[in-house]
Amino acid sequence: MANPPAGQRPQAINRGALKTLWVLLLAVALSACATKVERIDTEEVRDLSGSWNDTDSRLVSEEMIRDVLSRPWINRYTRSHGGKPPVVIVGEVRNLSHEHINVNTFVADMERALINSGNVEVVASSTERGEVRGERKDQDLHAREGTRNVMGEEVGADFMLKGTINTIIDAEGKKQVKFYQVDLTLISMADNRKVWVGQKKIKKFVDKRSLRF
Amino acid sequence: MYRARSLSGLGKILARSPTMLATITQTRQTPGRWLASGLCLGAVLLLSGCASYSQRFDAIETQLAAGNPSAALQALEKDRGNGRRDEVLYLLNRALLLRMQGDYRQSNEALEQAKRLIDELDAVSIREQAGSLTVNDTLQSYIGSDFERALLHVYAALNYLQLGMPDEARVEVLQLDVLLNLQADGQGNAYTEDAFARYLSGLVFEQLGEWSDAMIAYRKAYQNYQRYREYFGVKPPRSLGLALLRMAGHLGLKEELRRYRKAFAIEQWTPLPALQAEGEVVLIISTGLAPRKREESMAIFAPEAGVMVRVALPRYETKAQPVGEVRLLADNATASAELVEDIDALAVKTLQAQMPVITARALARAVVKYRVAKEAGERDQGLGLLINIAGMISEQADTRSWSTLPQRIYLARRFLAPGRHHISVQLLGHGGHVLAQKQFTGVAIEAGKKVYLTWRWIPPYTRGGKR
Repeated sequence: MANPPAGQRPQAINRGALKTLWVLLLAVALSACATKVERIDTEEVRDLSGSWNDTDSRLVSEEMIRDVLSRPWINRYTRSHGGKPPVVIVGEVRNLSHEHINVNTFVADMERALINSGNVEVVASSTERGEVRGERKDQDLHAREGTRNVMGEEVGADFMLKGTINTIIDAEGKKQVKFYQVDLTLISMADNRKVWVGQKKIKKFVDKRSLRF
Repeated sequence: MYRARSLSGLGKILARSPTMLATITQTRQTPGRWLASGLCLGAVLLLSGCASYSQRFDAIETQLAAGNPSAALQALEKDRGNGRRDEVLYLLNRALLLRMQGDYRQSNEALEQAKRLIDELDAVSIREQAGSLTVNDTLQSYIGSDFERALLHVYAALNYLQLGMPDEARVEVLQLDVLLNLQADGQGNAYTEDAFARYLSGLVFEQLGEWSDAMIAYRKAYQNYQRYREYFGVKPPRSLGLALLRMAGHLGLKEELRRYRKAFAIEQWTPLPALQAEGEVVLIISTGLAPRKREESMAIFAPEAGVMVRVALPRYETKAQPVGEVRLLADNATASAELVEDIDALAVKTLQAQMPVITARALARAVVKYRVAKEAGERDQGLGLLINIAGMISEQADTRSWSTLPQRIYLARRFLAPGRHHISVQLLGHGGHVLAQKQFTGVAIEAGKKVYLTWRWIPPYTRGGKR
């Protein structure tokens, strides 16, 4: 391309501006093509679709853990049982919500907090113990005498942790109000008494976009 | 096939209008024009090369009719359609083909992906709207019609039920409730919710012992089956009547009980507590394949401008329906399964309701194409003709639909004593002859539980019905 004559400077500027614009557009278009990975903190809140996500799970486990460890049921049990800490087994947390929610995340968080507190013992749940029992049976046949763990020596649980997740959804057009309620209960195995009920409520307003490119 | 048809059509058009032929010979003027003409011709060839969705489904249908869902799935994987805008359709078809092979888990993965994508694509796309107003409707992303989106949840729920995960099926049922309520909000009086979806919701709640929720779902199913009777000729099933009586009796709703007794003409039924010692088998039989959309087009010549205008619209083509009765044999007693969903009728009625909008868009498109061709023709006749031809060939009806759905769904419910049972199902033709039969051996029935048995039968002929 030849240099423009002196009299046509404004047009040259225009052309230059146009070129820059093209380059910019191209850059934007290309930058959208590459997969971008960015590591973010597990505490950071990022809501994408409005569905149940890691933040909700974390909020539930924080609330439940704080509550379950600060209530009097642990001390009461320990006092009446000569210093023996209560033993908890994790039962079913039923998902009665509108979404396929993975309850294992906050249940595992709770289990960890209970064990780490040192005041509560947790035994394997009914789904976990199957494999352990299989291994014990196997030890009975194959393990050396001194290292063998015999059957029938399991610790029975004193309390069972059960729960539900419920949702109420109110939707109109592209707008939705989602209300989640998570209830967890500790039920005494001896007499069905409920010794602790934890609750966490989460409410969201989701306004879906109505236009896209 | 599309190519042959369109080209022969083009030949006819050209033969009918000698003025147009004359213009072709006049186009040797400047190289710039030749370049433009070449581009247009290229576009024409490119567009004529892509057969419509409905035609591409032939390979899948042939495999299904041969009783070979895995080969059908291979055919689907080979031809996933036009990228993202057909992705939902691909996922829906994939889910049903996987379900036919008994792979319920993966089927649900595909359905879950489809759900997410529909959610994303539900927003109006400016680009696609522009495309559908200037080129054709297939440029819009497919997100399924109302009844297809309801059936998406129905199949997800069925998959979960057959995987023995009733709580997850309950999640689907709740999502279905939100969807059906939203759909009902946006429609006039003639709209019917998916009655079968409501019936299945009731079954799920009943299985989980949530009697009042079950009652509400059954009640809504009944209300919508009354509309089904009016619009699609599907009666409220008697098994629904029995379920309503059981629930109403158990919940102490005397007035409703009396009403349903009269409506279904049922004198005697077993109340709910008496059935707790028995188990229930729920048999869901799907037959045939859903109707396919075909293209119907019309070309009009506008002599004052020397421009041809073509309008292409979709039309449903139903297949012959060979099943007259579905008979169930269990414990030496026979019973008939009842028709609970007629997808033929649903699809045809849904399209009928959409037709005014589709037609208006096609006409708007025709006007745009006509004006562009006319204006180009005024400057350069050859270019005008080529733009005209490109416009006509690019005019395609949107023939996309969830074609792996069945034609009809039948349902039967039987209470049986706990233990192992042998259940056989016979499909009878209109003349009473046996079309096909299936044995379910060693079905384990437990007290107070439900067992779901499903069977999909596709008649061994592909191109039934009229073209």
